[in-house]
Parts: sequence; structure tokens; C-alpha cells
Amino acid sequence: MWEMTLASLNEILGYWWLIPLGVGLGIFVGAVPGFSSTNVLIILLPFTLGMESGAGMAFMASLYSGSHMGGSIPAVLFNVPGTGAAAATCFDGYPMTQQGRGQEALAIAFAASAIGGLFTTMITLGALPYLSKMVYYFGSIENFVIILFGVALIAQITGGSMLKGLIAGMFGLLLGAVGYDHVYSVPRATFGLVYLFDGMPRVPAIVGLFAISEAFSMVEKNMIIDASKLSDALKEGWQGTKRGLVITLKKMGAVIRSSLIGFVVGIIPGAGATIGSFVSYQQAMSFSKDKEQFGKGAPEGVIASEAANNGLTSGSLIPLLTLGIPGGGTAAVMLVVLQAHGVPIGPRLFQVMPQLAYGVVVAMLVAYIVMIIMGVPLAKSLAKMSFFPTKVLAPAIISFTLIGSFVARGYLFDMWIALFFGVLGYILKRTGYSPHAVLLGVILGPLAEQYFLRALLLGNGNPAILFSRPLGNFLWVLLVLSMVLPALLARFRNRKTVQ
Amino acid sequence: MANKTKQWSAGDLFIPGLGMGLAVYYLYTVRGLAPLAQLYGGGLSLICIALFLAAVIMVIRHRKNDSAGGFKKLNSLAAVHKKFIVMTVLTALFIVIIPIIGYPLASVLFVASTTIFLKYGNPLRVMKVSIIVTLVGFVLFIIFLNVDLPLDAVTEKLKGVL
Amino acid sequence: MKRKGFSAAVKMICCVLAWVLVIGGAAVSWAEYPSKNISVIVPTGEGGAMDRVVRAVTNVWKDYIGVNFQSTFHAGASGEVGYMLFSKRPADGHTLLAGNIAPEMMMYVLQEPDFKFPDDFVYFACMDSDPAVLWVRKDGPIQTIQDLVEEGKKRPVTIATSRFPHPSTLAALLLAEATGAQFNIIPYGGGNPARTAGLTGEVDAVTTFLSSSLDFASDVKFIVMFQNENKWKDISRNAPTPKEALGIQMPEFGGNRAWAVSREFREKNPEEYTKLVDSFRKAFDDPKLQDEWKKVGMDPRFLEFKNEEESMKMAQDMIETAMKYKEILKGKK
Repeated sequence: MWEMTLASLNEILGYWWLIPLGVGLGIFVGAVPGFSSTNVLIILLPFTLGMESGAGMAFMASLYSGSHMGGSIPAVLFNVPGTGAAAATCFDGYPMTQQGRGQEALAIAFAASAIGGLFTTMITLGALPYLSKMVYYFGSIENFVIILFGVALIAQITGGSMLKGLIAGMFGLLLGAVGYDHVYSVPRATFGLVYLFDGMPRVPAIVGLFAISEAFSMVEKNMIIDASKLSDALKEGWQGTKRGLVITLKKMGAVIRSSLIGFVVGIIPGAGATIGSFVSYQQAMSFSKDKEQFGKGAPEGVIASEAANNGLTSGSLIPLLTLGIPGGGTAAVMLVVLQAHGVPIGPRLFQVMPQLAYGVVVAMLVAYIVMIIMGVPLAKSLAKMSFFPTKVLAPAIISFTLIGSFVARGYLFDMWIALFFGVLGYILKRTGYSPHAVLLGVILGPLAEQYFLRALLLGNGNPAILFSRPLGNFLWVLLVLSMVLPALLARFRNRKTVQ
Repeated sequence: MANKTKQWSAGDLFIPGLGMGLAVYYLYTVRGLAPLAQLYGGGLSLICIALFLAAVIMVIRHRKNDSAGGFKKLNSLAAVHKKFIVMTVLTALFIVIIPIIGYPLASVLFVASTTIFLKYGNPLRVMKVSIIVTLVGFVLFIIFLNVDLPLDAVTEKLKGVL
Repeated sequence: MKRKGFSAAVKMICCVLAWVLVIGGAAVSWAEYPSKNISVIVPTGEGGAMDRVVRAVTNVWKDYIGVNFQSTFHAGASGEVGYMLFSKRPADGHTLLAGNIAPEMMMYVLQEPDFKFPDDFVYFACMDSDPAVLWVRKDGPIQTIQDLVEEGKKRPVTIATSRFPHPSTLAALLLAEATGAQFNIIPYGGGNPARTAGLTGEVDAVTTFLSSSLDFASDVKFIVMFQNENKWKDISRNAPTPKEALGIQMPEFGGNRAWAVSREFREKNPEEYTKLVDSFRKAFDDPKLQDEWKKVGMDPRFLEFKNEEESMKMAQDMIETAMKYKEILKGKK
């Protein structure tokens, strides 16, 4: 393995310049809402197809890794998740910015992204052939339970009234159930609109609930940052970055745990980065001593989301490299490039061209090192963007994010959906409902339904199948524990303090 | 704080009401479909209707007395949040005119009108901001990322040249 | 000060509006067809087989028609979204659709969309032929179609498919009906997840088009090909037809990737239409196409030209078959 790693490293030195280029471009497109590494890689296909297969893969892997870090920038600064995977970063990153801690939040996001990514990439490098077996253990049932971890967040982020939290979550889940059904392809509650046939589009929903509703709210103040914290924030030099780095290093356990959660979710084909960061956030919140701080600017929240969505990147390449199954959109584009170069796919890849498989992982490893060097120093200057007056920021955010909502599918109608969710988000906030709970429902609902129905079909309609697989049952136990155990522990602690 | 969260006003029924409306429509559209197509969304619809009823009970039990018969929160959306209403209308107009006059012009008009409404400053500042925001959007999305947005004849040519 | 600012702003808005009127009024020049790039609507997702095929074909075709092609992808509702958008585009021959006849005609019958076939568009050429097959894992307990049918008589066997309204799904259902075996069809919402389920053993078998499973050919065994005669013996490693394996005569099921254009354009502009069709035929016959086809990872042995008449007949036949089994496919039987 080490020989192979060194050989790959040696090969990568030949086109080393592609990695910072990929990372830089990745950070940039990740930061633009509506753009993901997948659609940019499709735009760049003629370019990557023209390269040698190893170089093309290294470039794509660096861009992919960079995009997950870039997604956190607008999430932290403006409550605009650059990618779906950064939605959970908004939960705590944006409140930190409002408290004048934008630089610190960005430094945490960057450091957690890079360290989390680096850690799981090293695991991938060490255990690539063995990890492929994991794919065989995760079926529809296990996927369903993993998505339920995300759904459980709905009950946990109620922020005051449990009933209101449930109403928001169920409303979101129902909005997510609009569109053609997953078995017979029959329309449900589409209002006759062809644009809703494929379900409630995710990007406009995220853009509306977070960015546009926030733009509507922010104009009530002059600045995003609270007036009382503004002067300190303006004077800040590199202190924020330092604080962020120290916090991340102190919470190394959380970084490792979150990146591992992301990694496992990444290996499972079809789950995706958004699920990874939600599940990790749910776990971090469940087992935190400071549960109350989550959603109000807890650094642990930013770490949970960012370490997970970067921890996931190397994991998501495993099914592609070992079995030839693309686990997500980016991997599907990589598959196109591999096929175009006539590279054997699946287990044969390791017999015929092992240096290519290891090369991709080594490139990713280098990309994460580049990200630490490139990303962290940016926190200070990027944080300054949050000092713009809201009178300019709000129209700019609306103008840009509407394009973002258009890009994903190319329908102008999606701008209307974004506006609908923007208005909805504003009313939700004003009447004490959680827009985050609605978003979780819209995003996770369709996946939950798909896996649930598939599992039921596999069991001929008998729900007992949901509890028929050992790994599935293990996950069920974990899910119940993560919901019940924290409450029990809290009660136990309280009793102790009372005594 | 705990007391505050227990207080419900009629305005708080807006979201559950919307949920119930969608639920009823959902049930209407899935009637007669194969059972598997009804199972998940149908179940959710019933839960949404039940939650609406629970919210109604909460409002009756823990109603906060306000001068507008409990609708103060919603009324306040219109009265106090004039900015929200105007911003929503301007955004809607922006979306309407994009396909007609193209994104760049629409964006100039949108940013100009919102910044004027928000009293950002004198016309020169307004003009500068609207042109800069539009230019950034144009270069970033249309030139660099090749987004296929509607354009006017001038910017279409410009895009072709660049 | 405030009023002054306001009037200046009004002036500025007027200037911008004047710009709009001037450029809006500019005359549109009309040139010989095609006068601009041709946009291609693909009713499936980016990165899929159709994406690759369109890329390969247009790379050659552009030299014969003289303009470039630009693809947009409108997956959703088994292709209905793409077809709906296509039917709303101007009938000037500058918008084409690249689709797969059998699954999409099945969608047309089952989903009763707002567009009309054959009134709204014509399939003017078909470029390949891809048979529906059933496959199992090479190291699994089921190794032949006889095994699968026998097992299906003891318990419902699970069969993964990309979606319910799909020719390979209907083929499997009809096979079950003919043999008395119980096939439990599970739609996975896409070819990749369905194949994954087959490879990981979550299901007993997978029903799909042959070409899309060739990447895994070394790990799977094709146990039946839904054709009257196996024309792809080497690729499918002698997969038997239903007649050969079980003595059952069934309709043929497969996919045919094809090009469509607005019927109004065809009727009103016969010369331009001929130019479009002829340029495609030349591109198809160009040996360069085979290389391009290989370059995108497709097997050129699936290439097969069919003209408008043959393509339209295939579409009509599929509509008839789908009508016949509509109730089964809607889950009501």
C-alpha cells in the first residue's frame, strides 16, 4: 500500500499545479449558491476529458473537496448555504456572525473541514480495498434508518414549543411528499405544475427558507452584526482566526467523530452530503452538554456540519473506485471520464490500474493540506463581507440567490418557488416556527419515503422487514439511544446536582 | 420565557392552517391511487390535520389577549413589516421582468428600486450599487459560470464576444 | 434633498427603460436554416447514458449541419418534464429532443401528459437498439432463468428496476404472468441504484437494458434477453430468449435512442426538415461516429439506424403494448 501511495504521490508531482487550481475553483463554486461540484464538473467535462485520466481525476477530486469547504462561506456570513451540505452550517455559523464572531466561525469551518477531510482520506488510503465491503451491508433498510437520524433533528430543534416544532417539521415533510410517487410515477399535489412533478426542488427551498427570508429580515437592521458587537468586530485583527483554530484543536474529538459519521454516510451509495451533515449535527446536539447553545452560535454545531461534509468526500469515492458504482453526482461525472479513457471499472481497476485508484485518494489528501494553507488565512478578509450595510446586502443576496435557484434545473419557475419559501420562512420565524425544521422535512422527506417504500416492497408489504437485518437493528438501537439517552443523562446529572 | 412560549395567538394558526390546506389538497389528489402511492403522504396529511386541530386547542386554551382579537402577530406582518411586504412585491416584479427584459437590466432596476426604498443614499450611490451588483452577477454567473439566463440584445452580444 | 434624489432616480429608471425599448425593437434577422445553434432537450439526467450518446453524436453531426448543439437536461417524472418543455418550444427546428422511445412512450400512456403524440412531434431517426435483459449476480444462488422461475413459484422473488413505467419492468411482469412465478418488482428510481441493489444482493435479479449493465459484465450473468432472437450473443454471453429458455413467446422489449422534432416544423418546412434528417444520416454513416461512441464508453455494436417511418412504428407499437397492460403498470392489478 505504501509503495503504491509513494508511486501515486510521485505521479501527482507531475501535475501538482492542478490540485491548488482544483481546490481554489472548488472553494469558489462551492461558495456560489446553486452551484455544486457536480454541475461545474459537467461544464468542465471537455477540459477533463482532454487530460490524462490520472490528472483529470486528481483535478476533479480536488475541486470536489474544495467545494465542500467553500459552501460554508456564505452559510456562515449570510445564512446562505453554498451547497445543500452546508445547510446545517447555517444553524450555528450565522448566529456567530450576528454576534460579531464571523471570522472565528469561518476559521472553525475551514479548520474542521480540512482536518476532517484529511483524517478520513488517510483512513481511505489505508483501507481502500477493505472498505468496499461496507457497501454490501447498507441496503434500503439501513439507509432508511440513517435518514431517520436526520428526521429526529426536527424534534430536537424545536426551539421552545414541541408542538410548533412538530407542526413545522410535518409541514416540511408533506411539502417534500409533493410530486410523482416513487413506485408508480403518479402525480400527487402538484397543482398541475410540470415543475413540481419531480418533487419540491431542493435548491430553491434552501435558498428561500434561508437566504431570501433572511434578506427580508435583515433590512430591519442596518447591519447583520448586532450593534453592540459591531465595534469589537470591526477592530478585530487575527484574533478571531486564532480563537477559531484553538477551539477546533480543543474539540478535536468532535472533529474526528463528525468526520467519521460523514465518512460512513459517504460510503453508502445514494445518501449524500446533506444527510451526512444533518446526521452529524443531530449526534453532536444529542450528546452535547450545552444543548441549549445549539442553533444560537455553538462552535460544535459548525464543526459537526463541516467536518462531516468533508469527511464524506473520500468515503463517497469508495463505491466508485472499488465497485464501479457512483455514489452521487460528482462520482457519476468521474465515471464518465474514466469510461472515456477506457479505464476498467469496478474490482478490475485494482488489478489493472491500482495507481489510478490510489492516485485519486492521494490527490485528495494533498488537496486537504492545500486547503488548510489556502483556506484558513482567508477567514479574516472574508469575514469583512459581513460588514456591508444590509441595505446593499439584501438586494444583492436576493439577486444572486435567485440565479442560484434557477441554475440547479434551469427553470425560471424555480425563482418563484424560492420566493414562496422566502415568504414562508419569514412568516415561520415571525410566528415562532422553525424554518430549519421545515427545510429538514423538505430535504429528507422524499428520501425517507423512497427508502421506506422500497424496504416495504422488499418485505412484500410486511413492515417487520424494517427490523430484519442485524446492521439495521443496530442502527435502530443507536437511533433510540440518541433520542433517549441524553434526556436520561441530563436527568441523572440534575438529580446529582440537587443532592 | 417559558410562559411566553406557552402563549398562543390566532396568528400562530397561519402555518398549521397552511399545512392543513395542503394536507386536504394532498388527500384529494391521491384518492383512488394504488395504496403504496397513498401510504406515506396520506399518513402525513392526516398528522398535519391533527396538528392543526391541536394548535386550535392551544389557541383556545392559552390565548394571549391582544387588541386585534389574537391576530396581532399576523396583522403586525402587514403593519410593522411594511419593508417585508414591499421587498416581497419588488422581488416578485424582478422575477416577472427577467424573462421580458433580461437579467442584467432587471437586476439594475431591482437593486435600484430596493435601495431607493431602503433609503440607501443619493441617486449616484444607488446607481453605483445597482451597477456594481449587476456587473458582479453578470460576470460571475453569465460569463464565468455560463448560466443560461435570459439576456437583452446588448448583453447577449457582449456574452458572445467574451 | 430627498425630492431631488427621487427625481434623479426616476430619470435614471427612464434611461434604463429607454435602453430596453431600443434594444427590444432591434430587428431580428432571418437566415438560412439552421440560423443559430440547435438546442437539444434531454429528458433524462446529466451524466447518464443519453447524455453520453448525445455528446458523441452531436460531435460528428455538427460538421454536417453547420452549427453547434447545446444540450439541456430535464429529468423528472420519467421524462414527462422534458417532453412537456419540448412541446412548448417554437416549431422552428432549432429545438430537438433526444429520448428513448420505448420507456417514454410508456410514460405517455401511463401518465397521460399534456402533450400529444404523434400530433406534436415526430421521431425522425433512431440511432441504436438496446435489448431488455434480466441479470443475476454471478456468485448468487440463482444462475438461470429456470432457477428464478422455480424460486418464484416458492416465494416472491425480488427484481430491481429503474422505474415502474419501463419496458424492462413490463417484460419481467409479463414473464411472471406467463410462468406463474411471483416477481416482486422494486423500482429504485434510477439505473445506478437498481444495479447497486443487484450487485450487493439486496434483490434476487435486476431487469434493465443490456448496454447499461456491461460495465459489470464480469460480475453478473444475463439470464434472459427479451427479444425473439439474440443479436448480441457475444456481448450477452449467449443469454437465451424467453422462447429458447422457457418455450414462451413474448413481445420484444428494448430501448431505442431517437431524435425528435416538432411535427409543425416538419409539415411547414419540408426542405429544412429534409436538411435536418439528411445531415443526421450522413453523420450516422460517418466512421467517426463509431470512435466517438466508443470514446463516451458506449459499445458501437448497439448502433442501428432506423428512419422516421420505422421509428414512428416502434413508438406506436409500444403505445399499444402499454395500453394493453396499463392496469398492471399502474399497480391496480
